[in-house]
Amino acid sequence: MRFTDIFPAGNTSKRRIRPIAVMAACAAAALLLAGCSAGTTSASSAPIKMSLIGVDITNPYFLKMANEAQAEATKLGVDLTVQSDSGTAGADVVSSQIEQAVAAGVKAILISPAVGPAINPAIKKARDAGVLVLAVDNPTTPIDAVDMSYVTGNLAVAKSLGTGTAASLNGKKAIIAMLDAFSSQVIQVDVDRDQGFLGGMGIDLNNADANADEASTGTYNGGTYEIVCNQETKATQDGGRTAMENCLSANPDINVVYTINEPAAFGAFQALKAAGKTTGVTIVTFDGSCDGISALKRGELTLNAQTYPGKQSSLAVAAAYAFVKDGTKPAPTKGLNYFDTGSALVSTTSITGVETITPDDAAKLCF
Amino acid sequence: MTAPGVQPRTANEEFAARRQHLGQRIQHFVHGHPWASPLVILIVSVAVFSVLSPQFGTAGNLSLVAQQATVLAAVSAGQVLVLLSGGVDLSVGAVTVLTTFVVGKLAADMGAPGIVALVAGLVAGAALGMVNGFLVAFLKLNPFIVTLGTLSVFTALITLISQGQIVEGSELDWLITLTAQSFIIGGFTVTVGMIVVTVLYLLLAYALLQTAWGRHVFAVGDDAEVSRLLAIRVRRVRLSVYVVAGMIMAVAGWVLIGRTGAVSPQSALSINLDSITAVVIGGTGLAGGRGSIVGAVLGSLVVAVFRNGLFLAGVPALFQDLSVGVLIVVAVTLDMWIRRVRA
Repeated sequence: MRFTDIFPAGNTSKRRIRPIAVMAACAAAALLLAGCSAGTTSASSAPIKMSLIGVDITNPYFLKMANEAQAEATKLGVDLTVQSDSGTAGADVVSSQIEQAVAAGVKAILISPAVGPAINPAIKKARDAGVLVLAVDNPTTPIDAVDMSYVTGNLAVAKSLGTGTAASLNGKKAIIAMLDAFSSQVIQVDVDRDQGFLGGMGIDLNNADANADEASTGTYNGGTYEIVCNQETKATQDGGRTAMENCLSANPDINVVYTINEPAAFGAFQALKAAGKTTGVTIVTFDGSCDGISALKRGELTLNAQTYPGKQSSLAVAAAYAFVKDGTKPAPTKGLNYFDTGSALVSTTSITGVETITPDDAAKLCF
Repeated sequence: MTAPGVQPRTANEEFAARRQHLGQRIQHFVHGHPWASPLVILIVSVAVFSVLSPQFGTAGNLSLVAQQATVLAAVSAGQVLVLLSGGVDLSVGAVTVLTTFVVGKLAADMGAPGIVALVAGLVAGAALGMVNGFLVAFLKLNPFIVTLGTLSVFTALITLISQGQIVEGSELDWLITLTAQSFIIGGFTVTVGMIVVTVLYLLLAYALLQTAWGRHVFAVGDDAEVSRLLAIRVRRVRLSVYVVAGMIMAVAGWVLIGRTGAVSPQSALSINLDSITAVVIGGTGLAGGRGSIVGAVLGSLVVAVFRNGLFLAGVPALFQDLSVGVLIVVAVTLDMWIRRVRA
């Protein structure tokens, strides 16, 4: 393929018309679409505008978050736009989306800061411009970079998973596979969940801000461990399957599988099933969706940390509305500097020393 | 001086009998047999990785690598077809996943029988391919840019149809998840998906090498202007190539459902560019008209072998990406060198 194939030089006059006509048609269509969606701009009776940014709506967790936010917004008469990006969008993309929202005149921004502290400057600019910024899904680093966070701390939830796993092993040697989200980029949720889980198990983290740097053998709270692999799954089902297969090739005796989220866990289970290992393996994951709870009931997953994305976003929308209407500042949960939307460790059996809820109870709260 | 009674050689014969140094010999051989370079890379890398880690060379692991390469090989079949015709298709992954949703939604939500859903997927693949083909062949828009655009459009359609939800394999007909079934031959696991892809390649090779249509595809890829002068209907050929590629994507989608065990909007995320990687490593040039069909399979296997082998050898993940990148550069450079072969 040559450069001139992409950018042909010197068209004949006849051929010049066609590309120009196509371009003009596309430009007109784009302007028309933009015009239709812009809506009225009269100042007094305009609904309050808000934006939900940094969510990947192809992930059921974020889809629930977006849907609940929309429902609450419709109830309150708020004009909410959802800025979705693919799971691998970087901090620069998210920062641009924040700036666009401010330029569009939103009064509040709900943001999932999964990409990490690189977006803090954009958040600061938004707050300086008088926009209320609330974090959902994950707290920012530092937590006061935003006005308030409606989150379940990933670190705390992951720790409880780790503690629960360590307790359920009953002193057996833990042969662990770590199925993270990414290996070629670092995002906060990936580090928090991975390090939180290992920390909860009592494994020495070396550097608590980095994955995959722990000693490959050592001791955990209940005995000795061996970490077989840290593989990236891109938080998807087929990524989970490939990662689990590779880990099993490295060591077929894996009995603990940490997964970043439910899609990765489902893929991991597929690989274990294909290898004939449907029993004796503890699979832990996050999300607690209805699909995930059913999988837990079927015995395909062992522990699932249920979080409540819908609650986070709808509470955030309501709090932002209250702030815009009469200046009520969003309040945290008593004794914390964020609003804890709660989490629950779902397990079919009870585990000593760790609070769990049954799958049936979880099914009532799932998304 | 020639010996008495022996005809003197013509200039042509002299040239044909000339001594070639080793480099020229290799160049000639690979020009005629483009599958040779990926085959050599594959054999060498399997040997090296087997030495580096004992778990690599086991039948169990090798069949895993083959399974991991299967979906990529299926998508690469469509990509090699498009590249041979002088085009490129950056939307192959999106078409694949979109057709899986057509199949999944029809089967799970509307209760259609498996065969109906699969045929609908095939039709959907053809239709999506027709969109690409029409834009490239009839509006004469550049395929790189067009398929970049349709990639975004099809990805948005996936989000629209799926609404972020996956369709679990358990809700699907046995025929749809058939590609997941496997059986063991001599310690090596063979999946139905692998068999499907093998048959796909045999059909594609037959169509490209033994039919007039196939010859036209090569001709159009090699030189579209000359083909037009030879009364080959260039636009029709180009359109048909994209339509067939779309149908191949539907087959790849069937294999993907088996591999994932579900219909998921987050499947096969990197397969758009991975398919170009596999095809280029496999010996097909980006300029069209020359390439290897079996090379596309070999290229897919090479990518999977490298990723799996480097991981088992304990190499950090970023070097896996680096090595695939190096492979591409080597493959493209090799392709340029081969094209410069003289007579």
